[in-house]
Amino acid sequence: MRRRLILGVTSVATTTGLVLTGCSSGTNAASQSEDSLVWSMWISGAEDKAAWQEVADAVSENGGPEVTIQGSPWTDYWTKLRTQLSAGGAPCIVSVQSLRAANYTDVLVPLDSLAEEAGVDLAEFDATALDGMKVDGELYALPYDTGPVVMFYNEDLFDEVGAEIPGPGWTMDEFEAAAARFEEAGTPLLASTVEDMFLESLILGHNGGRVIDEDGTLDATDPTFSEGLDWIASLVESGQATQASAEGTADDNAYVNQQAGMYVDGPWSLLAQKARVDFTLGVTTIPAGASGPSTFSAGSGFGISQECEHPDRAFEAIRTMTSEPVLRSLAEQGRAFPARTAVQQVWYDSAGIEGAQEVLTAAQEASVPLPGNRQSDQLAQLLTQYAVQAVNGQQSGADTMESIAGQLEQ
Amino acid sequence: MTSVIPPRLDEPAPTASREAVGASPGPAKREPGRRSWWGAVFAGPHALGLAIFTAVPIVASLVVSFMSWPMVGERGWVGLDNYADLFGDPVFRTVILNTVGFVLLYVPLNLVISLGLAAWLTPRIRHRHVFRVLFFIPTVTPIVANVVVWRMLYEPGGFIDATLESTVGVQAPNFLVDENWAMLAIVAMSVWQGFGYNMLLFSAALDAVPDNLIEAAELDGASPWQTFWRIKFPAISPTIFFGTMMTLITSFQVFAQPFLLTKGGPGTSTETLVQYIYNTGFQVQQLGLASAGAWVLFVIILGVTAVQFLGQKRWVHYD
Repeated sequence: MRRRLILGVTSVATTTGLVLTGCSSGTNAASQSEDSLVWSMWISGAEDKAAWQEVADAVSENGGPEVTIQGSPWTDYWTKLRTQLSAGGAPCIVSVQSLRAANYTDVLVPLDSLAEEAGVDLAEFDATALDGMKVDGELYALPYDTGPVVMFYNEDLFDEVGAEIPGPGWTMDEFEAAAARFEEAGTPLLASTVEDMFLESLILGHNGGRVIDEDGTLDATDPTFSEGLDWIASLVESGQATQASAEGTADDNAYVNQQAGMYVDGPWSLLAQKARVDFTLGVTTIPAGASGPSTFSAGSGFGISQECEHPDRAFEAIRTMTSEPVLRSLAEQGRAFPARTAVQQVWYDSAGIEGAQEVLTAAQEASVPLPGNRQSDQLAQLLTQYAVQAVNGQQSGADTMESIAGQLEQ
Repeated sequence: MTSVIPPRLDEPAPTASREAVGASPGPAKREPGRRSWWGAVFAGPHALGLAIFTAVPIVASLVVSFMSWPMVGERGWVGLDNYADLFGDPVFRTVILNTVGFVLLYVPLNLVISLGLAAWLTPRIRHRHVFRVLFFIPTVTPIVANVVVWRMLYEPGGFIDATLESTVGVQAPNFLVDENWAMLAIVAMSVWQGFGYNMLLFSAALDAVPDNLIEAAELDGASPWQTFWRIKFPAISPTIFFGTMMTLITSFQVFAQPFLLTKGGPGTSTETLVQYIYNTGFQVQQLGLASAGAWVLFVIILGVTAVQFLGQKRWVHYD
């Protein structure tokens, strides 16, 4: 009997041991040492991963630590990152987008002093790109790409309906004239979107309305922004714009499938879209309304999490990852409009889109960084849920924004 | 089983057979009622897994639901505040109504269609296995892929809209962004996606109904309709009960279809309880509030299940 008891206890103990060691010896993705760091990045496919792997390899080739990529799709990236940060398993190097930088200041290391010690000349970066990574004057990430929000148009379709080709700095009147020609031809000019950055840019250009102030405070009930929504709704009603959908890629698809003449996007997707479409792709600025030409700009960069035990090594890594040779190579692949002014020309050359340089320069000049807010992610979700109703004319812009504001207050 | 083992001659037969089944021969006579530790040893790993991966998280989430627990930042005990916040939130009431609405539409439709098709797919139908596979395919394909296809059906200019336009000349509503249609569109897609499982279950149960019962009913002059409701239905009622229970429970947890098709919109018209929990946890990043929401869902499901078990006495026959 005693033997059985001992046997029983031993086997239960062994199983416990197995289960527990199973838990602890599982690959801890965030495991870090001086020579090996983990970098979390949004990855959208094998090709994407290969391109970023080259960036990671560049770090060790330059005598830096070995960098391992931990990838997840864009939409899941932020959820995953937050969870990792709260559970204490965050990677050393994290990719950050400018409008979300403010959400992560409590978990990121300010980089100013590290940059100064390392002698990084921040003036070599595009000023807008750098500003986007600053929160309350402190730098939280080194930017690798930047870009003002612009519009992509279908040049063939413009010719077909007899609308004038939109040049950089075109105005709201010209937009409306083109919309009328498209309406006559029975095709909508604009593919509507309710994605935060693109919707906000379009309305900013239209009448200067915005939901996030310059200093990053949310003002969802701003009447000018609501009017902007009503304006898009009027376009939808007259058939000059497509109905909005909660699906983020609906506008891209409508444009690619020639169901609409143009849509709002950023330069980071320009080359990918050019490869997808079988018509002449053109790029232009957001039409300038009453308040003059204006658009938002956004960019991405690399920061260091506070959990990182080797911030110096991590800084060495992100310095290489945003260095001129690396950004040049990314520009050549058309992957990112570089955040370093010196290599932006390379991107224009490899883009091979007529007038792109003129348009982007004009847009960049007219652009302001889209400030982040702690509730940016929630705002984006609420816009996809509610703004469709405003854009599709089921509810007034003011009522819609009232509902959004009510949920943000909680 | 005992009949194959020849009784030992030196002992009375009944004891011998018990010994053989117990598989513990030996000189010492076992005391009655004494347990073997082996049972505990074999149950150990599972019990341990259950404790670590189920019991502990359940208790932890209950504790968290009484706390203010932001993803990053100060945590503190707040008692019932989270529950008070939830029931004071008009959006939470809306999502509960949405979820209940979904369940009320989805569960009966699912059961009627799956039972109807199972009843139709008698062994007399030629190539019934082909139909079975066809009807079951939606259940095994990933929801994400199904959603892509259904969006093409629902979109303006999509299949439904284009067909109506070219045949009748009317425009279909924009299903997914119209408050009045969005939930119905999600229910339709969910039924298509979900009925296959129940159908297979019911179909197998119907096959197991003894032929002699049906023959007897037919000889007594019962119509096919009567045979189905008086003989087959009571005979498969335990399976129907099981199917109903599982469908109810999973439909209260509906998330993927509305989350992928409409993101909960337009407005909150298709936001379900689980999506509310997800948003609260991962976007508002209030894990305490999200846990409280999860417990509300748990209590709802528990209550509905309890009512079902009480009600089953009236219509489920186990013999």
